[in-house]
Amino acid sequence: MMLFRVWLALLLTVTACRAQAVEPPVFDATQLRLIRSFGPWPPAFHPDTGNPLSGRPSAVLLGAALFGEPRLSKDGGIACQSCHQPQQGWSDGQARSRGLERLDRNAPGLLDSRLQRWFGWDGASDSLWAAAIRPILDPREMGGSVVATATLLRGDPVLACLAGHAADGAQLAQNDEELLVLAARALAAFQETLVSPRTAFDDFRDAVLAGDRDAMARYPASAQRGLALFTGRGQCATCHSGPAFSNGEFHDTGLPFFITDADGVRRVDPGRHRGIARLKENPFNRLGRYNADPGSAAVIPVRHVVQQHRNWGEFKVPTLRSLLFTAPYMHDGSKPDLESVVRHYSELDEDRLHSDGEAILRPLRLDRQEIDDLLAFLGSLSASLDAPAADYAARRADARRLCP
Amino acid sequence: MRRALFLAATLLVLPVLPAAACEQIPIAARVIEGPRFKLVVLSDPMPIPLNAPFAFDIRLCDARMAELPRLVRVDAWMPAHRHGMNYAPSLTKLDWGHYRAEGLLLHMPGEWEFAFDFIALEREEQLSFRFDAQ
Ligand code: HEC
Ligand code: HEC
Ligand SMILES: [Cu+2]
Repeated sequence: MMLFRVWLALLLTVTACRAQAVEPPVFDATQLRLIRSFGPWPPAFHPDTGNPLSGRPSAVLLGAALFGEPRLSKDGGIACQSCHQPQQGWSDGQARSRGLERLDRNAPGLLDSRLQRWFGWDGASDSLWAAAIRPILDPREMGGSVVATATLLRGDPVLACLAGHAADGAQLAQNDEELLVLAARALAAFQETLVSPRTAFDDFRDAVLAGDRDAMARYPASAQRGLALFTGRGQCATCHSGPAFSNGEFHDTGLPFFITDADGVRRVDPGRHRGIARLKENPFNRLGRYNADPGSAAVIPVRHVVQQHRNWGEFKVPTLRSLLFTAPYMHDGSKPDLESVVRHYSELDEDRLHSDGEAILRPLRLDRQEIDDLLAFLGSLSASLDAPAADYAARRADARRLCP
Repeated sequence: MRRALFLAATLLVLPVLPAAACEQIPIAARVIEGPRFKLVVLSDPMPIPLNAPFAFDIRLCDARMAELPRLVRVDAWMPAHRHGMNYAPSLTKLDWGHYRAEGLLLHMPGEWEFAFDFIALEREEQLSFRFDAQ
């Protein structure tokens, strides 16, 4: 009820003094409901019951050690951390990542990824731990192997010691594949600890819920107008919904279908269409024998997801938290900065978009003020990355202390 | 033993009318009045969640047994956005006129339309209702 009585100020419509408009907007009931749904933050921790190591502190230490471990790769030179760098929002600053070869896609940041349902831009993995296996084995990324990973975990005294602690008294994995799964599960347990810090937006959202006008007033008017656009005319929140600003599903935002290789060859990235096929054939998916909790609700979407024609060219809705650190943007890294992304939504090519797909996006034709407002709002979803980076360093130090 | 088997067999053969369940319809149920029967839909969990899997318990009530239709499909779409779900629900017949649909998931806030397709005596018919997912 409180929400509906919140009255912020009068929305200035188009006026001459628009550029210096200082009045924050009024949110309607639907917008207030959306604003509430963008929290609370930080979210409560729910372990992934499909991963027996989820939430286990000793496994987090092994995962942190493995995350920086280049020996998982074929040439001993590439670690997860090479493409997911703590100071870059756990991405790599490249349009398309480079492992042993140049990849087709942009490395997403890893903060808050435990809130996702699907992993990868095409959602080809259904758990954080299955998503850790792909880069290790993919010949273009780290080019590792099941045998090499198992040999490393058995043979390296430090990693073997950490793995023993992670297994926590239970017998260590038997065969090579089980050891790979153990490593992946520990990597997932570590990545589950990567959470974005609270932001100016979170303070505003909580102030709105509490009806605290003084606290609300501390959130810049421009960001408030951006939020009004985001939850209103812009329709951004239909896809960027929930505390991580993602519905966890897949959409076509009208980017070009083609990616171009260095030699000028153009190829199509089928996106979710192929992602579903890859998910279904992955032996490490939640329907496979390694899922520790086949009865959990997390299995239902995997069982029922179906490939549809419209999945062609669809990509996962990314989180918008800690966005300022993860440029360039989009699955192909084609947008160098946030203004380019906002302009993309402003000037969408409708012919490219609405051929037979869903009818949500329309060119927004934003004016300069609206673009700035949206940028102010998007900027308010980021805060310093120092805490997760320091936690990572601390965990690696803990791991060294536990198993010198 | 033989008697138990016989009893089980008669239980299977006798049409068990869903009448009892139709007399005590939970308040939370969605009731759709069709031309020849009433559709009673209960979600699990209650209420229908946004962006999380749920199931439907579905009953056909007040139908004449001889023309009890068969439920063949449950689906949902967003009329304003012209798209459906990303998931295909499965349908299990629990009893005469009693079904369970699993694997539904509404991935966007806004208005969804649920559609229930029936076949009765070779004739197709559809009942539907709208729901504002929040
Ligand atoms: C060569 C660069 C590179 C390396 C090395 C790498 N990644 Fe990635 N990572 C990517 C790219 C690119 C994607 C997007 C992949 C796609 O969409 O197909 C990705 C996606 C992911 C995702 C999915 C995130 C999401 O929100 O969808 C996770 C989780 C992940 N990587 C974890 C890891 C782990 C753990 C390692 C080490 C075992 C690792 N990555 C190594 C480049 C890399
Ligand atoms: C129809 C669903 C949908 C709507 C509506 C939508 N987005 Fe997106 N958004 C996506 C998808 C999907 C992607 C990833 C597209 C890709 O890489 O192919 C994305 C990407 C982004 C990115 C880049 C993030 C990154 O890490 O690369 C930003 C920023 C963004 N959207 C902001 C917005 C804003 C602002 C609006 C409203 C003006 C909006 N979105 C509306 C689905 C949507
Ligand atoms: Cu929709």
